[in-house]
Amino acid sequence: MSQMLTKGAYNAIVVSPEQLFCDPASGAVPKLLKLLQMNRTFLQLIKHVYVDEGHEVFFSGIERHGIPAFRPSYGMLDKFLPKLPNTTTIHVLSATLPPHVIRVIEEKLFGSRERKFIQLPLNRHNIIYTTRTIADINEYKNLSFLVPRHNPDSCPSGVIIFFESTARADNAAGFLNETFRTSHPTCGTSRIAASYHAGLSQTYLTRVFQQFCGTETSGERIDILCATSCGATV
Amino acid sequence: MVYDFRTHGISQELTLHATHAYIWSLTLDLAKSLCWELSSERGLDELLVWIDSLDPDQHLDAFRACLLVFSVTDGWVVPRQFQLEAGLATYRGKNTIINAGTGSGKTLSMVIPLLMNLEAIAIIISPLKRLQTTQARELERFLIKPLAINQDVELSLAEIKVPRIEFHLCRLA
Repeated sequence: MSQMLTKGAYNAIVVSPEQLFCDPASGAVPKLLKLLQMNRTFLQLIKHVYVDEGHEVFFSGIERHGIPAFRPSYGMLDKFLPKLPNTTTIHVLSATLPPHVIRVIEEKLFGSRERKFIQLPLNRHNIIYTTRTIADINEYKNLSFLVPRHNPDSCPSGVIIFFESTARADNAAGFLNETFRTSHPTCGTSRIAASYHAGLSQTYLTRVFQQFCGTETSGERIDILCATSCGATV
Repeated sequence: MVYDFRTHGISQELTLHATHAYIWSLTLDLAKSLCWELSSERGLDELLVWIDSLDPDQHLDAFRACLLVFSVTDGWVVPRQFQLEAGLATYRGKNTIINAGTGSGKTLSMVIPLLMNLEAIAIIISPLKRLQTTQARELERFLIKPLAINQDVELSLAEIKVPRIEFHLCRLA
């Protein structure tokens, strides 16, 4: 007790889930767990438990497809919660909660406890959805509006088009470049589109990405990325 | 000036009730007019309509939450409906699951119950140290005092103090 130092008043304790369990390998007791075990009064003051990025319970906490859990502590939260007072409320926050993830979370964390589900639109106000019917899925003509007709420099920049397969991404990029060269023969072999998917080398992807961002030293620009889902991590 | 009911021969219990009711109505009026003024200039009439539709006791809590958020942010932040809804449910002891987009302001729904009950402590479980730091910084904006505990933090001499109850934590390590 003689070694007390700083004085502070904390009302939120932000921790990794690992702080709530003994280390399975060494048996070491983490700091927060020690604190909870030592001090009953402190334990009684825990009124709320928030699981931020709650989808981790599903994605990192349980064994899936035969691969063991990446962070088993997430899957063991159900063992920790009963140690808290009965009045402590549990909250899960996430932006990634499809039904199968919710099912696991509810099973693990809530059981028979009552809970209120608050669902907000995950959209942003500047997103617009439109549908356009095309006759043939292998026809890329409906993308030709992206190719400038008159001024070759007026191509819309920063466009990402997503495709469900690498082949279609390649074909679309080929189509866009072909159309561009046909309408602007003076531009030679320069291109406006490039495909972006896992089938391409890391070096190539990095270069294309730099060209897309306009940070490539040679000055060549890519305005349109034809990507598979890996483009979502751009 | 305080009107003293006791000198008028009314039982103490009744006096208490009357005082309570009086303070309640006064607070509600004050809170309402303040909220109205602060929110309507930001085009948040919908929020006020929603608060008005609540039960009388929740009504007061909602205004209280709004005022607390106003005051800790110097009038910059007005809670949105889902933040109030989630925050108040938490305050009233309900469990919640919130599915809302990144950057939609989930932190404020954690802040509200903590502002409303200063003795409460919340444990926030967050997957990455980087996120924990961001989370802690965000909470500080609302005058919540966060403590991030991970392997990097030396907790051995930490002392946690909350109003009325003080903990002296000696060397844990």
